[in-house]
Amino acid sequence: MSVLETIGRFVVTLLLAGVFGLVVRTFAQRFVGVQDSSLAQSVREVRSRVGLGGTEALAERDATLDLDYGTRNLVADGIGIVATVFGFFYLLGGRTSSFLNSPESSKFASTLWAVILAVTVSAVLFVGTNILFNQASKNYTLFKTLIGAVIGFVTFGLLDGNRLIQWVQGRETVADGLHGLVNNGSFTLLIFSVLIGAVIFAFYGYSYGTPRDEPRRYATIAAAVGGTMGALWGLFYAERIPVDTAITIIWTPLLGAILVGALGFALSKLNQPVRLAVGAAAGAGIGAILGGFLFRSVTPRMEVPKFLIATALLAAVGVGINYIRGKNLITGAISGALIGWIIGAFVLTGVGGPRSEAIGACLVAGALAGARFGAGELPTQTQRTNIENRSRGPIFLAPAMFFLSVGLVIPLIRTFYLSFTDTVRREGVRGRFTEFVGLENYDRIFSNPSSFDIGDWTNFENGTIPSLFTSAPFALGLTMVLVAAGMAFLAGRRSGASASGSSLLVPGLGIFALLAALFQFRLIRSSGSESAQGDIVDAVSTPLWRYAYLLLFLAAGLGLLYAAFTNMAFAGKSGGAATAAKPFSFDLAGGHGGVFAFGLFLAITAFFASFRGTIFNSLWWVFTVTIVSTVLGLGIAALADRASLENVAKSIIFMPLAISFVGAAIIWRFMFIARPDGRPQTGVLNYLWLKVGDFAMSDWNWLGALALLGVVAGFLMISYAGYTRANSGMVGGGIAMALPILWLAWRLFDGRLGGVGATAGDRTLFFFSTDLPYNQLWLMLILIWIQTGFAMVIFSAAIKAVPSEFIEAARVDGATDSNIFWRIIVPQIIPTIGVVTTTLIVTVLKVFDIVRVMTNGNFESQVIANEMFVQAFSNREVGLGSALAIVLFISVVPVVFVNVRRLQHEG
Amino acid sequence: MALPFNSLTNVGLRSSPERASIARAGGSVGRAQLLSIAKQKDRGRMRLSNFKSLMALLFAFALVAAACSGDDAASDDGTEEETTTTEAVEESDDAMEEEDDAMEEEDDAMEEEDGAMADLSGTTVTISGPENSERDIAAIQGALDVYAAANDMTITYSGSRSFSDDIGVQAEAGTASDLAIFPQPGKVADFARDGFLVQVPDATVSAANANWSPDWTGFGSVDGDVFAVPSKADLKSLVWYQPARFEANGYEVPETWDDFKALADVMIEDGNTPLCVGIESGGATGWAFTDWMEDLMLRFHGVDVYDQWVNHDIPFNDPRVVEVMQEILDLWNTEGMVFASGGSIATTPFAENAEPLVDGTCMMHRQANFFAGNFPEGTPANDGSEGAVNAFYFPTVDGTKPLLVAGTLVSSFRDAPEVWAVMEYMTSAEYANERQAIQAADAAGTSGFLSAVNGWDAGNLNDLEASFLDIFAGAESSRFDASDLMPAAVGSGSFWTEGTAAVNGDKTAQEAADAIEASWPSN
Repeated sequence: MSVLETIGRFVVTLLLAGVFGLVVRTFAQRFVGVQDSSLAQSVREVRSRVGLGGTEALAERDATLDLDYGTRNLVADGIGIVATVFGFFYLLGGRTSSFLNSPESSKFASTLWAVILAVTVSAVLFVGTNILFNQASKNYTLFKTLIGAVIGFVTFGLLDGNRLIQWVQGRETVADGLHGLVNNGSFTLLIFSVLIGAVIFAFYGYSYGTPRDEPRRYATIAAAVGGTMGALWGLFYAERIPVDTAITIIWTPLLGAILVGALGFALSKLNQPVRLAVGAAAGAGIGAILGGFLFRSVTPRMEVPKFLIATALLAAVGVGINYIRGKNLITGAISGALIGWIIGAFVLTGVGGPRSEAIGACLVAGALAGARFGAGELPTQTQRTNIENRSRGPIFLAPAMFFLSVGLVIPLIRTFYLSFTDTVRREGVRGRFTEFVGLENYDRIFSNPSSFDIGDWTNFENGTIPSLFTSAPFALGLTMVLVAAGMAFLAGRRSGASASGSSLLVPGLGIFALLAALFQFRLIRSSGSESAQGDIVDAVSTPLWRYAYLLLFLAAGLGLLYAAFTNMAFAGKSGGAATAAKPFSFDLAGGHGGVFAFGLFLAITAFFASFRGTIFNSLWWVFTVTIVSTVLGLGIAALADRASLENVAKSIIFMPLAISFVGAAIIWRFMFIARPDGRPQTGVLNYLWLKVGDFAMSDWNWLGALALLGVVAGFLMISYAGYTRANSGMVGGGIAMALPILWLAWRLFDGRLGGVGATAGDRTLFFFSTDLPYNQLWLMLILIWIQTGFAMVIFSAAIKAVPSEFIEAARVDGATDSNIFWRIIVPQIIPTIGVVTTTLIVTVLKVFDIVRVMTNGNFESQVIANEMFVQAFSNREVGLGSALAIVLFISVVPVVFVNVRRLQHEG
Repeated sequence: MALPFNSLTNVGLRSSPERASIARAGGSVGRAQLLSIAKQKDRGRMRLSNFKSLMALLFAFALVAAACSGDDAASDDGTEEETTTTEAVEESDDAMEEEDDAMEEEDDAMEEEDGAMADLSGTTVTISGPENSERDIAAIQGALDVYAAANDMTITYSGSRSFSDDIGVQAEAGTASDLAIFPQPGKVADFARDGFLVQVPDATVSAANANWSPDWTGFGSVDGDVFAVPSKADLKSLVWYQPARFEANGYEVPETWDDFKALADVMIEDGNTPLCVGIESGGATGWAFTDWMEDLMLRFHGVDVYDQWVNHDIPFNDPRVVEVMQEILDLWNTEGMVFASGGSIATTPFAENAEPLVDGTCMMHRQANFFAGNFPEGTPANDGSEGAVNAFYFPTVDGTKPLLVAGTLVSSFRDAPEVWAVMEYMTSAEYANERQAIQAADAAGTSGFLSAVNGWDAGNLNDLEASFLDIFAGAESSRFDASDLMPAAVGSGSFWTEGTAAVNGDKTAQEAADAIEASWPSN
């Protein structure tokens, strides 16, 4: 397609859409009652010219309009604009078989079209419902008619949509007849629709300004409804939606709308006792029609005792309820009887009864419903205003309740049910049957080694030790924990304070360190056994390291246990008041607390890596991503606060949040990709990895190691400076930075850092997504990359909300920046931290896309959500998939519960 | 149509500033409600002129519509003509009716078919399938378009890497395409037994039977009823290589498995990499490994054990199965044996191995005939030239020559005449010819497409492709791809994932086989 042609199409489309929008706006203007719209003006003019009169009525009518002038104009404008956009994408989208059809734009446009349609329908429903209830006090007849129409539309639509009723038996013939009428392609239909529109115009003009109760007004409304139906018909025909579907979608609900709407209209005009009689009679009529349309497969087989008992019982319940509520007993009885009748006739009894019984059952139900409709007096003006006022809240909440029930409650109940079932086949019958199997699905989840695999811990007979005790992250983490514990001990001796929880933490750590020492001993004894893990994670491959770790763990374990023992003994003797007298106190407040936490984080990461299985993996994801995202987000928010270029930095960090998980995973695939050494590396990270390896293998690697050692020395000096100033933050931070860099320097000096190999074409690559056991960390990195921005934005807002008086007062009192952060800002934003953490936990538990794209659960990286998808849809084990979904749900519930509780608490 | 089109454009242009003025006026009223009545009257006048132009627009619109509907009327005439011819056929039927009752039935069938053909215009049929390379999609769509154009209908094919997952979701949700191209008879059986698929009507079945041998049509029948018809046949027991490169290095095409391994060792000694292997395939990662398993199962243990294995008459962790798995893992884990362009076997898509095979990075690649579709455009096939590719039969173990085959089956989720018409077309020789022609032209060489349909035009095939047909014809026994026949939970589930785990070294052959056995569905 040439550029010119594209532009031409675009312009023509835009113009046509504009015309459409203009027409719609004019209609809308009239509908919402704008004074002096162009149409009204012209109509008035035309009428006065042909001598129809009626202009006096205009003034009266305008006086009663409910919306103020500006609002109405705005609404009309809004509708016009929506119609323009709608029309634009409709025409652009190639949904009409017109000359505007361009395949390139159709996908894009149809998506937008759907979005606009959804938004418009929602908005129209919302605004429309409000306007509808406005009529309760102003125009009761209109209100009642429309309410009836809506009820009829929804009821008939739902029944038909669920294939419970059918249009007349030969509906295809009826449809064929209409087909013939409009059989000349979509452009004839366009004319058809336009003509119908013109007819509506004409009728409207004819009846405009006529007094409310004149028949021709209603004739106009009938014509408008008919015209709309015709136009819709044309639309659906042009869309080539199967005739059957079109009938279901349009005609049956519209029939319901007309029938029940007419009933509502009649009832709004009548007073007792005619009102009740008419209601019951008309309801019976509508019921009879429904009964006649009822699908044969659902026609009830009337079992008299059952439905009579049900009816009487529920009628009594209805009376009881209304007695308690102090309302009219008769309406209660009718409502109860209606529900009882429906239950008795359609739930308790079998199906397949004769048509007469179906008609009878529906007739009685309809009569009861109609009687309920017609019971009571016509409401007074006050009552009508009350209806309007009371409706506001429910209307506002209705969409939320609807989506909650449709999107959450109903699927949840169904999933819960399905999780106790299995789909089975029966001999000789096609189709799937659900069979109740009790807890079998849950049993399958929890007994399956692919959910819980602790093989690494139980595999003793081969002489191997759990890989945890040979892994570098664990060794590094434990070392940091022990160093920090020593510093906490020193700090505790100075301050005499004891961090809460240390009475459990310290002995626990001691026992763990002893256990680690035991395994190191075992490792040394069984020297020569290959470590299960690769070079990169195996820190203790040389005997020197093994003995060093044995001694470290042994000393630390004994020391910690001794400290804990004496601590507890003192606490036991002297009670809570004498805490200051403890000789061994642990004060984790301060920078070494950070080292402690980081070391613990590393050690726990290594701990998770020693397990396999879907559920462990999910837990690992939750642990790592939640903590890292929260800490990073908080750190960035705090550091960037009021810094220069704050907004730029935050925008950049926030940006990944705008990328979908799938998109992010694809981006990172390109980062992680590996090509055999010797071919061009297309993966960014592997390219860098090989470059680092080249440097480590070069003759100058000692220079790099020396430089790193310099950095280590620098951090140690910071540590020392902190020690002299009694600033534990500097001490801890320095050590925390120094240790890993020391490790890197050692690897670099040893020529083992990065992609190294004996020959140039044989360097080791880094297989991020496939190399166990830390491959999952690289997948988690993607989610962290996305979610850090989220945490940061929330924290940033919370930090800015901390009253500056507090901070200034603290500063006057001589608080350092870190003091202000830990003692003022963090306590203030604790609720926010809670919200962010819980939101992250829920997000992470549900992670699916990233795993699906990166590994699809291969390489031991399966998580619950992906496993659920695989079971439910790939393997079509719906029961097992549902059980997994329920496991996921149950693990999310406590988190949400805690969140809600705190919110209530705060409220 | 040109004239009203232009006039419409003009009218539209004229109206647009006025439209803007309306919007402005409306907006100003919204902002300030204290406008004087006199001003309102002004605006009223302005809007009157606006109303006139609106009417003019509507009129223009109606004109355009009328002009276009004129075209429709013309095409209507055509339809009428068709109707007349149908009547003529009916008349002649009437004449025949007097002659023979049996004949009458046949004529009725014809008449129905004619009626169905007439009904096809304006209908739409959607098709989804697993073939997703650009070349495949273009050829499938192209072949379908030929039929669509002839019948004035719309047929769309969409190929997806994750077809085997998606179709399950779509079937559950009731949004599956009209026709689905299944590469797995096992999945067809699953879907058919679950009541998702529509049974193929007898007319279409007999059309398929006329075109394909009973072996092939049998793959689509489930418990005695036909739910799918074959559309494409693949030959899996092939090893791709470059004859010129073999010649240059003095390598001989191996006849037996031992020769094959010995040759590989020689290649390693020469400093060449014998094999390219890659098993990554999105949600279907691992299937290329299962192909190796199946080919070697057939060769090591024969067709009977193979059948028992497929039908779960022997457990998946039977020592014979584990032995074959171990054989493959040992081969692949031999130092210097495998080149994988993704760095490791488990991260390399099989299609990415085409280039290294052509440029000599590796010497051989075991893959089905459709691998040809991945060669760089214009790669010559089996013509003796430098750089030409060829394929040899995957070596035997004991001299018997079993053949591993696969193919695609078309099944339907919707019962409508146009759907059956398209299905019948897809199982016909015409479809194979069209697709082969398009795909071969696109590839400028070997198309990668193969069919076992009777009577397709051999003129479209090059020597290599013709040799594939010879292999088909000369096979002693052929078996369908086992993983495609096993239940979905295994065949497109654990067999793939556990196989991948074993290839990646996360599990031993025994552990993987145990896990697959544990996942075999109980019903």
